[in-house]
Amino acid sequence: MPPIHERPAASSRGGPPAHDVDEPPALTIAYARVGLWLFGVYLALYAAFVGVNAFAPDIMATRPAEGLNLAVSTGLGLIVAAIVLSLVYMAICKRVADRYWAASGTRPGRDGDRARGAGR
Amino acid sequence: MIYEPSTIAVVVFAAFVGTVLGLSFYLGRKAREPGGYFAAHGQIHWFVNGIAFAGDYLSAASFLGICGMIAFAGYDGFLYSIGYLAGWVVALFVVAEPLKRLGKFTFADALNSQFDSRGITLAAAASTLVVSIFYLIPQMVGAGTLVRPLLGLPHEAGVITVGAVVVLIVVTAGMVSTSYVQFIKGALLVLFCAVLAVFILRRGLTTEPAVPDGRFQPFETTTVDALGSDPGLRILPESDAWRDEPFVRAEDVATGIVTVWYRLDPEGDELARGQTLTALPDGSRLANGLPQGKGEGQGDLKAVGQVIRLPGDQTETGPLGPIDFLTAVQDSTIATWSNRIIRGSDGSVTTVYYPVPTEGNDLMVPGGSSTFKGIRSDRLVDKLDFISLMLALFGGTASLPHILIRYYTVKDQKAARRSTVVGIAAIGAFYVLTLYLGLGAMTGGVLDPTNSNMAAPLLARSFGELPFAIISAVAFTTVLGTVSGLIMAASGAIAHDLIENVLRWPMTDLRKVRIAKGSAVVIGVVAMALGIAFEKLNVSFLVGWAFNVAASANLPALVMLLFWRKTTKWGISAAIFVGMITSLAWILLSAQAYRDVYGLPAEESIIPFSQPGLVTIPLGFLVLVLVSLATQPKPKPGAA
Repeated sequence: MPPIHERPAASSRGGPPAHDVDEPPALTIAYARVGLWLFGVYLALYAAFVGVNAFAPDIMATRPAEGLNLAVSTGLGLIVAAIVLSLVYMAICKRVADRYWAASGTRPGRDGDRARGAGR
Repeated sequence: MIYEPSTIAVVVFAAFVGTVLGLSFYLGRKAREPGGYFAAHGQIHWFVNGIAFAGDYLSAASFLGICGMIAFAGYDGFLYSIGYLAGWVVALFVVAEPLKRLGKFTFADALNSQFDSRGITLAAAASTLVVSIFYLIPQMVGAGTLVRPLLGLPHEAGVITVGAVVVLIVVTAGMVSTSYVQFIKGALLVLFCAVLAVFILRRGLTTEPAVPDGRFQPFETTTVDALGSDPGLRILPESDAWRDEPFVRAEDVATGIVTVWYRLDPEGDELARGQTLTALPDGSRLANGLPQGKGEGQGDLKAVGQVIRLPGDQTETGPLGPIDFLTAVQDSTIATWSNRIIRGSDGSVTTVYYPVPTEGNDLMVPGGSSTFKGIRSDRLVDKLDFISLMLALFGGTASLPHILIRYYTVKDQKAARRSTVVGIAAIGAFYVLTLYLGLGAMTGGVLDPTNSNMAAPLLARSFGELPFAIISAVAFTTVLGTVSGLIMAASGAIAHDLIENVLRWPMTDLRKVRIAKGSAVVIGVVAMALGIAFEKLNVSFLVGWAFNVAASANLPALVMLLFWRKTTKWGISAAIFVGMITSLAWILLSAQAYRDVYGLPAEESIIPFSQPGLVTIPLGFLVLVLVSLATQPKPKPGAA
């Protein structure tokens, strides 16, 4: 069986598929790869945060440069990092799609949303 | 504490309920067939869907529970904020887009898209029902807890009001109205929390909170000698249950009223004034020695929580910037309130609430609360409990059925991605705000020492009656939004997964929607009954457990289906059942359940730590891999 990103969209029992058009598999695979990389980055940050809290909580009380302590600054930092990484993901996906459609030269329509069927 | 019901709060809440119900009936015609009822025809705009994610996800536990935990324990509450948001990274980067492409109405559809297996659908539907009901209980109890102080209604009335309104929303227009209710609620919640945070920063920190006289118990100290030399007072002996407790009791000779003082230092003689709530054997209550009530000759507990010392020994800081506010808290000393229960030999039970001066530096690091004190312990198992919870929060979000169904309400993969990004931004902003709201409540002289869930509404009251009314109404709608999402998820699991795809009853579209609506009513009634039955149960931990069960049952199946090509239908069904049953069993046998649910000694539990995720999530992966390997299809000759 091919990996899931190459398989066609669902047609579950009890009706027609929810969406009859889909992005071409090449794009879906590219998105998934970007997503996994960014997931890895965030997982490393989160694991480091949990690990330091669990095994070296004293470090969290230190205050570099008289400002916020590490517990607060890294905690806020993780929330901001999630927002930033999600924006980065959206931007990269858009670039990947733009390049794909430029290379294949088959992108009709104004906004690309209608073009998905054409790439297959 | 006794609250005066706020008329404005009732009016604001009624106006909101009227609006959403009107909207529901108006939208009702759009949800007469399954595509509309279950998935709003995939026509919800991505931005609306993104805010609706926030409305769906930010439950009463997030809003009231986290603010309350930060207000009483400091940084530990914020750890939940961090974990709850981190889970969205998994949702966006790993599961959102494939799930959108592969599914139709429920996440069972996505899991089963390649297999056509009744076992998978049955397993996924079962885990959806279990997780949804686990998650519904705290929401319903939360609704009941809120109405009593805010609207002056009994617990049952709150549970039934919320249940009835939600069932009406879901039955009239399914996912269409649910989406808009969640959109409105998500927007209101983030917006008003931002407004409150601005108020908090403009007020800054002060050692003398502006609370009307008689309603606030300031941090008041004295010494044992001073009490002893006051001719109007008599120091009571440390007899009976008061022996070896860190309290000194002084009786007013004229009135017979006893005040309780907490020894700030076991060796020294410095004391801080506490408050008491005594439950007498006849069922009546005494607050600070007087019958509890608002009338003449009656008394009530007073609001607490203030800064004792500000950096540079100022009395107030004036308006502060967002970072300056946090550093000022770190550099202050703050009175945080704890309690201790003392059982008298006459059958009375006295709870003593007492202030502990705490350095901001200690409040703003993890490990201050009873939930996370394991971090500061040297034993490895105590640390594992914390790691396990953080893992469950991380993996749980992307496995929550009521969140996953929201991917089917947008038109395509790109819209799913965009709406998740909007959701992350809104939810992330909200969780940053919780830190300010919690610390604002901690230092604002507004806390009810008996009830941490009331921290956010009481904080709002210190800015006026209208902010209080709005925040209270928003808190109710918080319950409405999340409960409607949960009931939608559960009704989809029954009608679409169990009845149509497992039992394979032939159904017309009209009948399918009718069955789904009927299931929504049944689940609504079950939720109301559980909400009333579990009134007394401490339910704050149920949300964390729902995350554990969701992550253990659903995450291995979702992830492996997407990334391991040898996954079989047997592997998926087995992983869901094993993950769900082991995590449930672990929870029901944990020390926390012994103590809080059954009232048995916690030491009798055989489970080493309370949060199962660290064991049961990897177990789910292991079962999936082993069962899949054992059930590989025989290669057909000539097949690719």
